[in-house]
Amino acid sequence: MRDFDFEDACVNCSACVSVCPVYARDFRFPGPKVLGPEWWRDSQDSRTEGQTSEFVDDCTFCQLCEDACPVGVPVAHLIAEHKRRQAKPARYRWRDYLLAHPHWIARFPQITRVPRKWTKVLGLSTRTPWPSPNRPAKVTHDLLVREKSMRVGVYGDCYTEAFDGPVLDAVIALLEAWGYESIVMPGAGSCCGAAAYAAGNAELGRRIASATAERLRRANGDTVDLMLTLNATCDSTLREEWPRFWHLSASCEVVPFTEFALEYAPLEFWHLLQRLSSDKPDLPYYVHTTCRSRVSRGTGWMEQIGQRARWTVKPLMLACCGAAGSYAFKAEHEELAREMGQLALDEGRVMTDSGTCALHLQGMTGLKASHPAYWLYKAYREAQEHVKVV
Amino acid sequence: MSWTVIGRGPAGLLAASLLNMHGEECRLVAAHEGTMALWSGVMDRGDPELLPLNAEEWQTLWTLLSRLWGSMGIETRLGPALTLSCTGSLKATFLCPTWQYCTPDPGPLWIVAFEGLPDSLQDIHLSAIEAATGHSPFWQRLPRPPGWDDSWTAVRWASFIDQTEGKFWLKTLLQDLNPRVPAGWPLLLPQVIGRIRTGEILREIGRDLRRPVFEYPLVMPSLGGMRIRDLWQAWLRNRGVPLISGSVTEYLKHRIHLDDGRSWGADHVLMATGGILGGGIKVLPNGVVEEAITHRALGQITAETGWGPVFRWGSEANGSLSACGRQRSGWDPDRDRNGGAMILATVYQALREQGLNILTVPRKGGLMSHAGF
Ligand SMILES: Cc1cc2nc3c(=O)[nH]c(=O)nc-3n(C[C@H](O)[C@H](O)[C@H](O)COP(=O)(O)OP(=O)(O)OC[C@H]3O[C@@H](n4cnc5c(N)ncnc54)[C@H](O)[C@@H]3O)c2cc1C
Ligand code: SF4
Ligand code: SF4
Repeated sequence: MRDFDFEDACVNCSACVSVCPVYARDFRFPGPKVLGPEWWRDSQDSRTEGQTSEFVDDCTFCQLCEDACPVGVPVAHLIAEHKRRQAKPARYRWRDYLLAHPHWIARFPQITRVPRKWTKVLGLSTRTPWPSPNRPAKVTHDLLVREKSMRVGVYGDCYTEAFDGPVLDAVIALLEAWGYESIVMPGAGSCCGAAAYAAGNAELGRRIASATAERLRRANGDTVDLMLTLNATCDSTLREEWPRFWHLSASCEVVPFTEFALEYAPLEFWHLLQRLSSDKPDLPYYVHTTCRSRVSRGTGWMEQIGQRARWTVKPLMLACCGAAGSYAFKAEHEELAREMGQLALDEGRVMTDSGTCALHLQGMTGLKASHPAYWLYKAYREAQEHVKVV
Repeated sequence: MSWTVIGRGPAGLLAASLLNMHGEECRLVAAHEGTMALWSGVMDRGDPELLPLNAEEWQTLWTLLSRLWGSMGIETRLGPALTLSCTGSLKATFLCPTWQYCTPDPGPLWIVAFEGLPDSLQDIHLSAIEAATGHSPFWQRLPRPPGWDDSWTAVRWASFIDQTEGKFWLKTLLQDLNPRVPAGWPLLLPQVIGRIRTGEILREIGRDLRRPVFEYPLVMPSLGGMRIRDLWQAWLRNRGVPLISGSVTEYLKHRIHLDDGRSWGADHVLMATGGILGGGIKVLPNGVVEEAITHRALGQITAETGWGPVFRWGSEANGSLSACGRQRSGWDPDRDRNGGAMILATVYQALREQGLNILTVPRKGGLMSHAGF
């Protein structure tokens, strides 16, 4: 057991229950208070040792319960410990082990092309869309700012590197246009440990994260002060869970790309985008701030990006879209994940700060969904063309 | 001018909304959800004699809040009235969501409880209601619905009744009982009649039974407050107000600092840092920010003027920092049952101290149009 604070401080207010997206939909799910602090208290009793719940794995680890708790009970992390102690059906053991290592899948992304009929046998969802391999390409671009002013790291998370290459391309191109030299760290095939932790295997998560921390330390070599993240879960895992639960450090400051863009993208960049928006009004952007981002940083950053570019922005009111990393890929969560992401939207685009959420929402809405960097870069290219033509 | 509001309870949400309606740039930062989910959403008024501000000012402030909530889809009844507390006693309100029973003149009632719903109990409510209204209510308890188990808190009951199956369960049982109750007596149901479709379901049942139908509040978690919280936060997000998660550990020289290293400048700061339940983060009256359980000091909020003016009622020039909601001293909403009035008055006062008087901003036409309606 790791060193929790306030694990026994629950005052029974049920604020956690009032925000849990799974409890609101799945009537068998006992909810965060029962699965977290109540189970924990029970588990301290040597006679009962805390009877585990067969439904504990239905928790998405969105951490909204923990964010709501007014006394700081580590509700979601107690539930992760509960998951660890709950025996898993033998047929899921290999699947879960594999999904806890998303960086392995990222090294061999072709694995996602296995025929659908096999996936059922493996305990994987047949309805949740799978990502297709899509590695970053080398892109060429015009520079907006000639002088390079700072070197920033970009955390190349496993999903973006293997399946969302255009997002990474967009980030590197934007950074270059804004006058920053970038380095993708720590190199392909690493993982922050979030997937293993979410599935209740904190020890495996720590081991995976330690290897990544070491690679980051070597890749960084004191040359970058700032590392940008493209996925909200990796972002909060690196910044919060690493030091708090695993005593690890990312060797530099960790900042979501979105907030960096708002702070550091030059005015000329926004002016270009604004000009395009006023000359050629375009489709609205539906914004989904992922649950982990909401807990760790709050909502409103992507909306501000849109407002600054003078796009039409419509925030989506989903608490957790149901993708939750590898959650929606598991056969037993397929239905609930679909229910959580159910939306009927008019024509438009979806902007969200996680690749797996984008994939899930794209499947649910039929609209193209991607990271804000992708949309910013696309608009930037269009704006450059537009200015040339005009 | 840039504003930062600290706290996501009712005071923080109201302050951020008023700022947004006045076109001010505002960020809302909070360590946790505030206390909205702990109460039914009825704005308690308490004894009007005890309140600062005159009758006209009050009327304007209550109307403003009622219109604000209306624009979020929360219908309210405006005006002096009595409503039930979660223990069955009567309390004074001026603004009450229409889902909750509220009237200037309480009469006989038909009250229904649900078996298996904690706090929806005969012994808590009946004698108190009888004493308060002077009438013996007609009382029934509905049996547990199919599929019920002991994990059903009020939140789950509400999700159940939002579904067609749950609504059908409720309507069928009520239709059977209806002929036994004198005509005209309002029906009161526990506050779990849906999380999203409350108004629609209550109206539908009312049409079926040909009598007014309302909810009575339960203890926490409280669906009334949850509904308002969710709609309010969505409203703010839709209007472009960032809702930042984080603990403020320092405010000094016009800069806010969070425990995770983030910081930003703010010309005005409203401290809506509440604090009940004896938990979470507390800002002490001298500005020390502490962890309420361990009393570990986390940092310091600094008032340029010293702390006296921040808490004094009626100060005009106050530096860049003002307190509102439960953090403002001089109010005891638990004793005086005037929590709603406290929220309104203190937010009004804090904004005024920071140079924005929401009662005197030039009105462009009809009532409240200055506030963006
Ligand atoms: C159980 C209960 C029921 C009540 N019922 C009613 C009712 O029915 N009607 C009524 O009118 N009144 C009621 N009241 C009284 C009163 O209205 C409430 O206490 C009210 O919720 C106070 O709101 P607030 O916004 O001041 O603070 P809170 O709701 O306590 O919010 C405080 C906010 O500040 C944040 N915060 C604190 N310190 C920091 C920091 N350093 N950094 C970042 N964030 C911080 C917290 O995370 C939280 O978001 C009730 C009170 C209680 C306790
Ligand atoms: S982490 Fe999310 S899904 Fe799990 S109990 Fe908490 S709120 Fe519910
Ligand atoms: S929010 Fe925190 S204190 Fe309240 S019931 Fe949940 S764990 Fe307990």
